[in-house]
Amino acid sequence: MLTIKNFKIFINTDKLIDIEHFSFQKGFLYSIFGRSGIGKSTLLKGIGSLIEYQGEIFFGDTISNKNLNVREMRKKIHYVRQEPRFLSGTGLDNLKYIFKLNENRNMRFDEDLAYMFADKLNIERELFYKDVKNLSGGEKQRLSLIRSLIIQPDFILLDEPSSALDIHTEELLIKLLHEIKREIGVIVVSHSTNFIINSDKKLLLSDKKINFLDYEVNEDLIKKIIEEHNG
Amino acid sequence: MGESVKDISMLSMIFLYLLSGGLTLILYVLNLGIVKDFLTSLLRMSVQLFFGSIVLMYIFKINTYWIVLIFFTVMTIVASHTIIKKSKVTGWFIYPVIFIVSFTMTFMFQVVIVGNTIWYDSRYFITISGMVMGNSMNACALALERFNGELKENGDLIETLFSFGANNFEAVSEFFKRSIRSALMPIITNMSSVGIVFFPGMMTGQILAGADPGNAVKYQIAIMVTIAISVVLSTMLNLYFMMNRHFSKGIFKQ
Ligand SMILES: Nc1ncnc2c1ncn2[C@@H]1O[C@H](COP(=O)(O)OP(=O)(O)OP(=O)(O)O)[C@@H](O)[C@H]1O
Ligand SMILES: [Mg+2]
Repeated sequence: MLTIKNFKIFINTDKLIDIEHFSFQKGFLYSIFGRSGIGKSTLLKGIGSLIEYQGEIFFGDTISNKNLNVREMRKKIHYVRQEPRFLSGTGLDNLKYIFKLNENRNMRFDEDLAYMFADKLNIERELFYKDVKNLSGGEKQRLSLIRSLIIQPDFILLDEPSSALDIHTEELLIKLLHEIKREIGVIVVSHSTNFIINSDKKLLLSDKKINFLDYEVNEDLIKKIIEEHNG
Repeated sequence: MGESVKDISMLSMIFLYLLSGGLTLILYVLNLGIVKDFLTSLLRMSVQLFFGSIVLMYIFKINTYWIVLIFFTVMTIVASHTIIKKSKVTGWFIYPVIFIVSFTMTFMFQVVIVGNTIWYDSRYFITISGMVMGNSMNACALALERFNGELKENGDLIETLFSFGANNFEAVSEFFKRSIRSALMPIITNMSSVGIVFFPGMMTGQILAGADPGNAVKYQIAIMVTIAISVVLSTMLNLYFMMNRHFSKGIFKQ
């Protein structure tokens, strides 16, 4: 379980996020949506310990940002960017590099695990040997997801993970996330109505808060909700 | 050092300035847009060197450790200030880094290599530290500017590395290396072409002053190694302190 308490994020002096209490459970695929610029990426980066925030992030009952160092926090509750960034070299170089970091010296790069995820996302193995700068946007997005999955975080925070994918590949991604959600909690920010409809818990970010929608939604309703909360 | 250098007469100096005037005219006619820069630089060089020679004469005459220290401190302030202005970074740490590295390396050159028992012997100390500091200054300005530029441009990559548990140094090490490499390039190029393509000022000066070329070469090697070490040390320290300014509470700040 991942719980945020009295969670506030300020950008310059504006309060963008103000959440008293919210819990995410493993075993569900969460989707967060809301109008552009409302603070969805900011919220995920905050929970991923990559920007400054006030408040507490618990995972489990006792472990929190107060007693776990920030590097460990970032790996356990792990943010994945919308536009991925890589070091120069091949995809494989980039996957291996993660395990050279001092913090990860006790982990081992599991090539088979990487290929398993690649198969499920319709990524050819040859692609791992290509220079990352030649990969397409969608290939980069999937490679970056694989890179993040192989460190086996507790929760993964995906920022518009299907923004560069076609509808078919998006379906593959949704399927994979449902498969892993019991081991790795999944929280996704998405503008894709398909993604939102196929998630287990739909969350609307508006008014600086996370609002849980406890009713069924369809494409038109999602559009209407975003429209209503515009402004 | 044998006989002394032939003096350049006042008439010759006037001739040189006339030549500079001719050069200015050519620059003006070609419309290169650097006439003003050239003239101000010429003026600055003349004034600075003129007063420099007076100050040096005075210091060489007094030749005590405190006058050397005072002058060395002034040099440090000017050099550090130049680094800050050229690289457009701010950081008080630049002053002590330049002071400590240049002082230590000049001291080493003077006492350990040359074997001078008076460490502050101003004829050596001021000139050698000037070369050491000048090279460190250029390298640090280059390295700091490059480093800050790289960090500004690559904030997203740094954030990505952080998300995988990288520590501060790991997150910026690639840019750290690139910046040091770019700062070291000039001195490495210099080292490999010295003696073939060009004869450095110090060596030329010694030979003109009548010194044995063999000895002048030894001095040249000693000073180049000393400079290389100073450049590496001062850029590494400055980049290290600069790096820490980009982080607060473990979070990257552009
Ligand atoms: N580092 C920053 N400096 C200044 N403003 C920022 C910064 N980060 C975010 N903002 C501002 O905060 C607001 C929220 O940005 P955020 O990226 O979280 O929006 P979003 O909901 O993810 O939007 P989108 O759906 O377009 O991705 C925006 O107005 C943005 O301009
Ligand atoms: Mg966003």
